[in-house]
Amino acid sequence: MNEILSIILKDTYSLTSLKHRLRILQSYFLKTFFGEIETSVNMPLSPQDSNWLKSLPSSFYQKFNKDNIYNIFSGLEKIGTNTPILTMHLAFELNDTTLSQIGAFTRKTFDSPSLLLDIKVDPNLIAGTALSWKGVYRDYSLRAKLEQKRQELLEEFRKFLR
Amino acid sequence: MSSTQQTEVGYVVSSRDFLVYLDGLPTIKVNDMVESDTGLRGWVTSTFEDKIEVLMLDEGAIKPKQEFRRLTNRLGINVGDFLLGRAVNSLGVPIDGKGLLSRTKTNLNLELDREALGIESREFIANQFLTGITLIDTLIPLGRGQRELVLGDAHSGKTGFLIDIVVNQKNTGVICVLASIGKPAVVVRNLIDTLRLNKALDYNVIIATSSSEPPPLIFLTPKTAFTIAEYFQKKGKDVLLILDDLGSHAKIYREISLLSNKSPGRESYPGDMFYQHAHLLERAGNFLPEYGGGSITALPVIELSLSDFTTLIPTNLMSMTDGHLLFKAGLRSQGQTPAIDLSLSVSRVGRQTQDQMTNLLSTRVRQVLSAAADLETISRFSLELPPETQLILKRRELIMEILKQDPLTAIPKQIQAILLALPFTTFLQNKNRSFVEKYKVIISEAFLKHPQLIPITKSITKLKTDEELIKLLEAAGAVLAKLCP
Repeated sequence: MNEILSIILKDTYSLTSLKHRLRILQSYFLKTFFGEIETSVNMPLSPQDSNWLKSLPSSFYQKFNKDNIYNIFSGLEKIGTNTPILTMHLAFELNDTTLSQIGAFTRKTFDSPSLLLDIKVDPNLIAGTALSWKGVYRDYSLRAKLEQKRQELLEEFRKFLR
Repeated sequence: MSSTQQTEVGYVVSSRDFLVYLDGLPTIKVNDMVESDTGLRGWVTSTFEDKIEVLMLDEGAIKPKQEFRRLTNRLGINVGDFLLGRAVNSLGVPIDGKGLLSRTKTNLNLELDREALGIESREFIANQFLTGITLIDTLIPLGRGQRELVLGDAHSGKTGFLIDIVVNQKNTGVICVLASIGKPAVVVRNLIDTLRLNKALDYNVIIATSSSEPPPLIFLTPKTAFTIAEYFQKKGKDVLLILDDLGSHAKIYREISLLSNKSPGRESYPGDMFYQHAHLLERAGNFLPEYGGGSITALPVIELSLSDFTTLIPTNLMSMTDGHLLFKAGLRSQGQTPAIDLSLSVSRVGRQTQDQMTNLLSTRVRQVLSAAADLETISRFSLELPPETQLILKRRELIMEILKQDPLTAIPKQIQAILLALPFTTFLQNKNRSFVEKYKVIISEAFLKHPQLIPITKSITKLKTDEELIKLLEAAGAVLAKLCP
């Protein structure tokens, strides 16, 4: 089970994409095993998703069969909820390239190969990021910096207005 | 990194009505406060290995995975003299429509759930708490710092009796804190209006949560009331605290406990029901000057169903208070106000605070009442009773009439003693109940205004025994006979 998850997590960095990928994988297998052959080939998938499915090694596909598919997916969901999650508040929405760059960086920094990012968009941050890790919330955003230097900034503005 | 940039957060794992479980928040403690990203506040009630239990104090939708931040302040309220004459809810938010409580920002913030002061801080209860009600002040006296349970049926006059006590504290320096727990909003409104009409609002603080508010908020009401009472006690004030009523408080706690999967015990109340009430009432008492010097006299109220006081909550409360006053709807319908059943009511502390003369007089009155109760059955069967028996029964009749007191009236302590001593004089020997009913007020006023009677009223404090008082009143018989033709 862990082996399957680690293959999936190799290039899956956020919680939402993990959930999304598990879902498409499950429906792919369900259609392959229990559906008609034609439909399994013509699944309506986005190019990124079908590329991802194609990128998975054939040994990966061999682990699944009609009998174990339900057990594997319910097991994966259970393990998936226990993986360490770093909540990241950002002022903008990430594109896939940046997400994988940040994901790879955080995994290296936190020394945790299965770490997942939970991206939350909060435009109030202005710029930068706020992180919450194991219940501790740290704000590295521009908003927090401005808040911190509020008095100094107001003082400067007053000087300027005079 | 400064503290403004680092906080603790938790995410909703599960929620059931007003009860929410969060994960995260690594250093959270019980009684800390958390706030959701939509501004809903919650109060941490217990912590588990992997999650914490939060009771929501604001109503609103809770979503899975919703973020909660730890607030810097713990569960508490701002206290100060500005609370006098005001009505607030259990979080200290004014509910009387009179605007902001205080404009100063540096108010004293006290935690709601405080451990009661220990034995080293307590002082012997030596001063009587005067209520202005004859029956209480003479026969079931209360001490300053005592906890006396008020229990009785619905419509037995409990609330009226409590309002009388509060109104009678005018100009005595006593601060009254009234907690109205989960009552309809209109009841609270009426209470405020009654106090205002009687000019009694200035020394009162009302803490009220209406039955439509979230249960955790109602549950906190008595804690808030005690916190406010403690503030005034620490300033050396004598405080009267009324908790109306702890029965609904217990029901709210049962609701919360059942929702949070605590195993139900007797009558489905949780196992720590006794603790919850004892923990509260333990905060009342009379305190040494080093600890503020004031006192908190607590009158918890509980409503009984069908006069049955043997159920869990009333018996619990009886065992954690220093006595109880039992009200009966039957007595009230017979015209006895306050409708207190004397034989079933007790004060375990008050007697030590009474002066010797009143103490002896009340013993004498009690003897008559108990002797009359014994003789009552016999008197029903025999037409010819010996004169001694007749006298006892007559005295009982007169005493019971004297003990009746109209709502919103106060009788000074000296007059109470005089009235209760009168049935033992020859003046009332041949008078009946209707005579007392007719002339009770005139006699009371005469002892306050009549030049020949005032010296008796003034000399009462110097008397040592009740016999001396009866002797003095015997001499005043002629004057009284003239006043009551």
